[in-house]
Amino acid sequence: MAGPHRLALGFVAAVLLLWAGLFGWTLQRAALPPEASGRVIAVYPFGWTDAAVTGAALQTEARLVRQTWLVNAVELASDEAGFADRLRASGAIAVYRAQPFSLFTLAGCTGMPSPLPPSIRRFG
Amino acid sequence: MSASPTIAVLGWRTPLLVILAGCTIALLNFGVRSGFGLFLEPISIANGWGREVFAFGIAIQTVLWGFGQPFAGAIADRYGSARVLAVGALLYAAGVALTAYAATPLMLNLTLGVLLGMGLAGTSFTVALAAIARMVSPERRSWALGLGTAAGSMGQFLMVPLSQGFIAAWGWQFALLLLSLFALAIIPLSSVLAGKAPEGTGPKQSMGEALREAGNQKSYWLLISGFFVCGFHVSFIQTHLPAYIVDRGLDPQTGAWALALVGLANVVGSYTAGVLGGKRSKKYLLSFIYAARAVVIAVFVLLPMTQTSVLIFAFCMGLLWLSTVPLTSGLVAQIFGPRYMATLFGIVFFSHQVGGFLGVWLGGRLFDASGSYDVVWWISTGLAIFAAIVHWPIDERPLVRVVAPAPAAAE
Repeated sequence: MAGPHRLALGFVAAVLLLWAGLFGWTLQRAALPPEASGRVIAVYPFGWTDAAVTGAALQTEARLVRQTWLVNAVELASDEAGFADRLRASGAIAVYRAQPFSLFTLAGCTGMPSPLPPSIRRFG
Repeated sequence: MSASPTIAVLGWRTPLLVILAGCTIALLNFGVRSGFGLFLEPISIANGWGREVFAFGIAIQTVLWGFGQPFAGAIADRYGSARVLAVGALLYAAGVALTAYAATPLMLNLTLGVLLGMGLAGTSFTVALAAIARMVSPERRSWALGLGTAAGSMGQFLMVPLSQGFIAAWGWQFALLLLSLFALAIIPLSSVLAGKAPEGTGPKQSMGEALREAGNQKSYWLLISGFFVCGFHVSFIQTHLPAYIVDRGLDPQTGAWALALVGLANVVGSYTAGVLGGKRSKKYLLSFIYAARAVVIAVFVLLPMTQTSVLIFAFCMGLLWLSTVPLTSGLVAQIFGPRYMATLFGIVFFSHQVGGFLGVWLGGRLFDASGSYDVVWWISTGLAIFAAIVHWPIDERPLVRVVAPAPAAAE
């Protein structure tokens, strides 16, 4: 491989490494405490099917708000204290506060958020 | 990587450092602002505003960013890129940080709109790429511009989830403060890009002369016309593709994955275009890219839509997405030289933004008028063919400037 490509790969690898460390730390800090309740995103192990994820989540008597674009993550709601703890007991590897996020923001040329059409504005 | 005598390399600022700093600046500039959409909801809810308040701030920012680029480029060419980047980064960071404390719509317009718009213009692609172009040898220039563009695209891909993580972990206000630190990081990086381009071997030229010279070149106008089409395509597709997919009966997730795939393939496409631009004719590559866009769009619209066809379209368009940037900016540097590249490419980029505005607006306008996006897709195809044609006759040879003979001395 020629030198310039090696440099490019090295740059990408260094950026990805930094990013992964920072993102991992951020995700750790973002995880909800056991007593948390409200609208949350529960992340189950990779490889779990839709049905397995929904089944496990509903065992906690949560309300299913919506599926997400990840098969193993689902948005749920419950007002009962200790909701996050119950979700972890049902197999969730992480529980986060539900936030609006969308893959739509990843491909802008200008980097500006694109206005979502009304039909899909609720999708995150 | 050797430096030729026409390149401005000063002391410790080796081409390698310049490329790395330029790429990181592009990554940060592109990345930080990509996450702004995530703040729409929390800011609007916290202040009890409708979405239009935030949207208006973004609109001001977009206009100032677009209009500001040629001016930022001109100042960079006159006083050096580092100063413009540093001042731009200060404005950028101040805008992001103060947005966290904007309690009235006016304050939001001043921070998210005015400060950020000017900051984005000062730290933009055009300034960073021009600085890279003038400090890297001509043989490596196209590759370096490709890497810079790919770094910007990568920043967008990486910073959005990170911004989301910041909001989840620390709340939206502190997340904005953290993001302002990323913008501040541009300041030390900009010192690596200090210095102005050397005058080169030809006669000295003022900025006015450079602008007049470019304005008299048919090739410059052809480049401006072609890049307008690029802006039209990417903005139209970014904004309206998800709705088009839903209208044709597929689920919104497909639209989301499609745009994510565009973003990912874009990194590969930008870099590859830069590499190829160093070995092949840039104008023919641009013609090929636009012709390929015409084919990809036409096939996408004509074939029955399935999840697979959408993802194939997204991947192909992603490869062709910002691949035009290293080639177009490289052509500006190649034809006119790097001395006034930030100004000249800033003007070319402005036409891209005008195209972008029309792509978004016409997409919605014609959809409302006809009830379908078909007309805009066919306009996009026609524009792609137009752009493929207009790049063909560009004269990509460096302009030869002759020194006028001095008038004979009076007897």
